[in-house]
Amino acid sequence: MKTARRNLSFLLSLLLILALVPSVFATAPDISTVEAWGAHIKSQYEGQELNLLVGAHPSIDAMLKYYKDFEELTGVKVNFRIITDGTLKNTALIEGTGKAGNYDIFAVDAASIPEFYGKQIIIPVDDYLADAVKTPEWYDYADLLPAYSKGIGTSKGVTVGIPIAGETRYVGYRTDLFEKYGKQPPKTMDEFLELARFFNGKEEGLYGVSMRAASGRQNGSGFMSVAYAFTDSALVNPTTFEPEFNSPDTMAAVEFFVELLKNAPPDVTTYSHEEALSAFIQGKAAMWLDATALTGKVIDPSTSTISEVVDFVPTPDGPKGQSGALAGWNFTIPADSKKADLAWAFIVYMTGKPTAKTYVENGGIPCRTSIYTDEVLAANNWTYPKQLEALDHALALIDRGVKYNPDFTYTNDIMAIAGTYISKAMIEELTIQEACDQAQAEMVEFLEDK
Amino acid sequence: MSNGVSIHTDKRATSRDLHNTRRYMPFVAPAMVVMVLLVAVPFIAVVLLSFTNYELAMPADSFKWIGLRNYDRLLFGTNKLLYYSLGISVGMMVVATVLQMLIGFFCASLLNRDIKFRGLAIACLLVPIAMTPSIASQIWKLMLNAEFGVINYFLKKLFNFSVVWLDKDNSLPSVLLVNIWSMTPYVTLTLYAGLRSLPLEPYESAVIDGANGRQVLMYVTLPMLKPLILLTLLFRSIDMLKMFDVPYVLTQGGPGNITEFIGLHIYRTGFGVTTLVGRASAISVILIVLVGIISLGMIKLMSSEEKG
Repeated sequence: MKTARRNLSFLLSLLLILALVPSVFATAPDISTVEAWGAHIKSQYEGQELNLLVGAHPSIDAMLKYYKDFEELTGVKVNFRIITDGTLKNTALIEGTGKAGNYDIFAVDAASIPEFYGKQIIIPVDDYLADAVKTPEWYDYADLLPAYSKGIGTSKGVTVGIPIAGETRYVGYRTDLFEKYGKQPPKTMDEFLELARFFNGKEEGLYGVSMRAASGRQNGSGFMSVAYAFTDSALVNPTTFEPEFNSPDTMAAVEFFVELLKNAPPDVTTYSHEEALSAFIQGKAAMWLDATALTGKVIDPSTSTISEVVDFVPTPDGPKGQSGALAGWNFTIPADSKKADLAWAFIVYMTGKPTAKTYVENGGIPCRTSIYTDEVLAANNWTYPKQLEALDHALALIDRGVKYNPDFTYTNDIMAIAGTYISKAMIEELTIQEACDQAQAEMVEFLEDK
Repeated sequence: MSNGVSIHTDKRATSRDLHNTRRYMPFVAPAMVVMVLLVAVPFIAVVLLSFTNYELAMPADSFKWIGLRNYDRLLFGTNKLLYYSLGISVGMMVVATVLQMLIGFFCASLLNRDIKFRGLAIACLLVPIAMTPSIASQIWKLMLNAEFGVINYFLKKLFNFSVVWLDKDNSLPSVLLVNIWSMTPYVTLTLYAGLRSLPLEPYESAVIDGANGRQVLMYVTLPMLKPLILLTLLFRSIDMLKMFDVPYVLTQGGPGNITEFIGLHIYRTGFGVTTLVGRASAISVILIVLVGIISLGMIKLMSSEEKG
């Protein structure tokens, strides 16, 4: 009787083990290749739909050319709602507040990441990144440029977005003019200002520099491009997030920016990045400080009159050392999405290493080290090493312990307040001191109400 | 006695009016309900929001009733932009509306004559009306660019000088220029339609009485056209007061805040620069009050003209 019972329990144990074997295999699916991973995703989500809210941007244009590969691979239907980037932020915020779960992915710009995370509109993705099944090895997160993975997709030390397009800013300059007048490209902010003054009016219709400076956020954004060379608190203190806009360092940065743009086209106070670029590529300015993402238009002979006589150097150093802008777009997962896992699968496919080359070849803005170091791609774009050098400067700012876009909810608001008062100083409605004092007072009052 | 008769008649009239009102009410009521919902609900929402700290996408637990704080900040806070925005908005309303009316009436009078290519002229006038204002403004922005704009190109070619159209001195006149271009055709066509509908008899009588052109204009045309002129004036004034797209595209309110009209100020406060929807609502309430005062004044003027 005892033996029979022992045999029975042995048999049951064996059966249990045999029953568990398939489930063990089920938790470790084969995802070693994109195709195998695609089959796994298909088995889970085939027939479902995914909705994206994104802005009109070259990165999205590039993705539109290969997202159908994901659809074929997984049997998931992907719907893009593309709106202008000017209205995207508010639309996403309103959608996020409504909690209707209409979207599964938002494209969020780097400056808005702290606001979206702070307002609990988007969720952290660290758990996804740490999950070896949800993020296969071939995705290679470490291959993302550190300046982007650390600088534009995180908030409060948490990864909340995956960069889909990154940029820093660098100085473009006219080599023909620099050679003609025996000048060297600027390495420091002092040299930058000196060169801008030198070239301003040197030839008929020529200005020293062109930058974005339209009142408000554009001006604030232009200011930030140079400010970190002078101060750690371009908008607010990077640690306390208290405004320090009338501190000596920040005032020096404002003074520099205002002085620099005295050598720009006279209506520069209405320039967005588009007008600033137009002035440069039409040969109206000797130098230009703006986004690496716009490089294509500068070096393309069909859009630029200076494509053969242009070169680039990183943002010049200042009293605080090296610095560089960090901007770009991320894919994020809204907190109200009911298909967060599927959204992550889409992000993995579209931003993973295997599709990175396809993305860039279709006009996407590179975010991965492997792309910048790819011999074939680098041969087609001679500015890659220059961009990488500029990115090193941007990384230096992070290493200094300063985030280019301060990691707090009201970065955009504070930037716009700064940009409005700097614009007033540029048109001499206020002195530098008055502009900084008034901006500081308004920032303090603004944050007091929070 | 006569008073008694009169009272009796009034009572009968009142009772008949009431009866008629009751008869027509079922037909009018659905439209009235829709109108009330479309107007009253957003209005009440804006007024209520103006007493809160509401921001776009703020967490629900942060949403608070803050009484008159928004109005206090706007009227007595560090930023005095509200006063400036209201000032330039009212100023622009007066100047632009007067110019649009004058130019519009002049063009309408020309069209009212037997001129060649009238059809073509009317078609041309329709272009600014048909164009989306933001797109038209974008084209103007390109044309007004100091460096590569087509206007300065021709100024340089023909007169060897150029103008910085969007700097601190010229940005307000530039906004005015674009507004006049875009809205004068509307005034022209409205007044032209009015002129075409005027009866001919008063003109014949005036000619028989020996009135000259100026007298015909002053004592025949303008008095007969006055209700339409006042109505157009009302529409244009309100439209100008809430102007948004032209300065938004042309200057973004700059340089500094030079062209930050009240409509743009609301947008920048609530959505463009900061996301203070509560405070933007407070500015909207102030704008609604202002529009209400101006509209009431003009409607009163129109009523008195009708009675007079």
